Amino acid sequence: MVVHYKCPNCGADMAFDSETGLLRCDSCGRTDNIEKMAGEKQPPSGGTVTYDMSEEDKRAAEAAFEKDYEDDKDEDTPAHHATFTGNEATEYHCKNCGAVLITDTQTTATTCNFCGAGVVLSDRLSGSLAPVKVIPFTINKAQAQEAFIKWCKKGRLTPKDFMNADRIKNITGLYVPFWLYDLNGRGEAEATCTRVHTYTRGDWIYTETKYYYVYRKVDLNYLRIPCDASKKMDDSMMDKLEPYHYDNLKDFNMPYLAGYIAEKYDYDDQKLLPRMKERVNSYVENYIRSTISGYTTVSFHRKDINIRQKRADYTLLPVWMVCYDYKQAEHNFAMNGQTGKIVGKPPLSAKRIAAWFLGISTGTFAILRILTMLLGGGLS
Amino acid sequence: MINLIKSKSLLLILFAFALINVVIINSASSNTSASETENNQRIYDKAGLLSTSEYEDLEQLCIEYGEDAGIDIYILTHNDSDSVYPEAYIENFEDTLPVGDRVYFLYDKYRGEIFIEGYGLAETYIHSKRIDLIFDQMMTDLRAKAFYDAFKTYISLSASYMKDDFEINEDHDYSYSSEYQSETEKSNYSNGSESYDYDSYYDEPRTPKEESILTNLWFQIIASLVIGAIVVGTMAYNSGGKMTVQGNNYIDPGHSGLIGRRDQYIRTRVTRVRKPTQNNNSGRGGFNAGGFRGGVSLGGRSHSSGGRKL
Ligand SMILES: [Zn+2]
Ligand SMILES: [Zn+2]
Repeated sequence: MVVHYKCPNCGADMAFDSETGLLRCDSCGRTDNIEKMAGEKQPPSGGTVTYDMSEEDKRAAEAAFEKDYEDDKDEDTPAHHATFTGNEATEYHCKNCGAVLITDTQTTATTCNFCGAGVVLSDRLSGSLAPVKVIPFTINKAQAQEAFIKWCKKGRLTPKDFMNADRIKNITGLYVPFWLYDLNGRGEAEATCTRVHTYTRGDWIYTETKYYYVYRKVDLNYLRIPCDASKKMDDSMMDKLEPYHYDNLKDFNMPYLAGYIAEKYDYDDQKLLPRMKERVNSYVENYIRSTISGYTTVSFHRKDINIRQKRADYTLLPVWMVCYDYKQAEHNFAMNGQTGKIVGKPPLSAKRIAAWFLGISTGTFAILRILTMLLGGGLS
Repeated sequence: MINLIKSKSLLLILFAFALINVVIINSASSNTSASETENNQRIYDKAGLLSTSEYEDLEQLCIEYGEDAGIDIYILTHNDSDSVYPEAYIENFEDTLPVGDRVYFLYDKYRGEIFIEGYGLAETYIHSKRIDLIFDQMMTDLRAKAFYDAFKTYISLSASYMKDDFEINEDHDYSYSSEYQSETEKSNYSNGSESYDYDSYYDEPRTPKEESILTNLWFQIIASLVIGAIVVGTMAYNSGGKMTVQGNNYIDPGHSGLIGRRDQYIRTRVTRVRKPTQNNNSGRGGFNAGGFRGGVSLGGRSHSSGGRKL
């Protein structure tokens, strides 16, 4: 189903406005409070179990996942193929102008290429594919562009002409599918620690080492750790976008997506759990280590850590994707659509790297020479 | 960000100094391994005082008497103007060998001085007072350049003192410096020409001067380049943004915490090492509470000592 937000007053297209957090009509200025548009919420609470597209979609997504992750040389089974074709064949038409909407299997919201109207594909946002939460954009396109240019100028190692930031190919507001995990981590550790004390008596230096047996058990709960569930997004780039502030975390409502691109998840919460466990494992380890203090050395001989998933909410988080053309190569950057934090590898200038390298090396060398002269004077 | 870079480079400089120390220690130990191969030689007659037959005879005596007495008896001679002063010369020689029970006689022909040091059991039995007695027996022969006879006396007396429990020195803590020194030296060396001026060497470095690696120009250049590379490398690595969240960002503080802890004392171990002696003006070596003279080598080995001018 294609959902299109038309202004009840003037008939123009409405879109989500990041400044006010409301659905807004640019032509007449009408605004609607999204949280009160209960009627638009999909699926209706307590909705009937339906045999619908979304289930097919989910199966297709899972099939695609297995293919990519576990055995990409595996031939498509006819069943998979059928599902897939059926899915891709679904054509969506713009309700405004009737043109065919360009979508791929993951698209859940987009804008019409012809008339520019923001549309939401509601059938891909229902059932098990219904997001639970969303953080709406708080940075709009103009602000994103400005922040990006500022960031380019700050780069210490980036080439001069890159810093102009005049070749931004496009900036896309994207709702990236994430799972927000609530996890419980229990850890138990045993260590041998020492306290070392040295003192001098006469001509002897005494080293007194006291050994301790140290035991710690922790019970830790972590809330809403994000993990990106989209295949095409770079995991480490998405991790670096954190933190998101959850005071602006809203119950999902489709109008938030109006005017932006949104995608559905490729991996479900169970598939991503191992990645999450690995991350939380190190959190628990660090916590245990932080409870052991006052010792000179700590050496663990047992660490048992068990991570359990308590909950995972399908959540859409706002990301500005910046595509930048520099010397015939595309550089992709991602910006946290809520905080403005930017990640992505900028091009590096050999000249500027050399300059910094020489500067730091000569500086260090000068310091060493001065120290030598000071110490040398004392020694000879 | 700038602070971060600063603190990082500070760490790196500290790291570079640690590296320098390691290199110094390595180079110090590599200097010394050369002489370990000739382990049965007892006489190093670099001044060429002995004929071949005398040398072979004395080697034989050193080994025979030494085995009987349970120590290794060494004789060193040299005529080297660049060498360190006698006390340190023997110390440096001793430091090249594994820890053991040894007594050394050194004739520094260039300076015209003789010196004896005892290590291990020999430190206890051949203490400074007995060293003086050995010197007394050797002086006539040494002055007459009858080295063969003088060395024979040294070998047999050293071996016999090892079996004499009458007055031994168990205290190897030679920390009392000046008071004892002036007193004992006066009484022992009343005849001026023989008295050995320990003080004259206090200002001398133990080892010939060599440029420290710390001040080595090339080392500093390389260290600076390495530091520059590491700092710029981290800058480049972090240019794409970095992970800024930790477990604390997501922890639920009300429902997290320690549910068990124990810190239990097990045991205490105490070790001790000698304070490293510095090349400072307070002098090295000295006298213990019993008035016995001795010192500590750079390698931390304590020894009895005694010297005279010829
Ligand atoms: Zn309107
Ligand atoms: Zn259209």
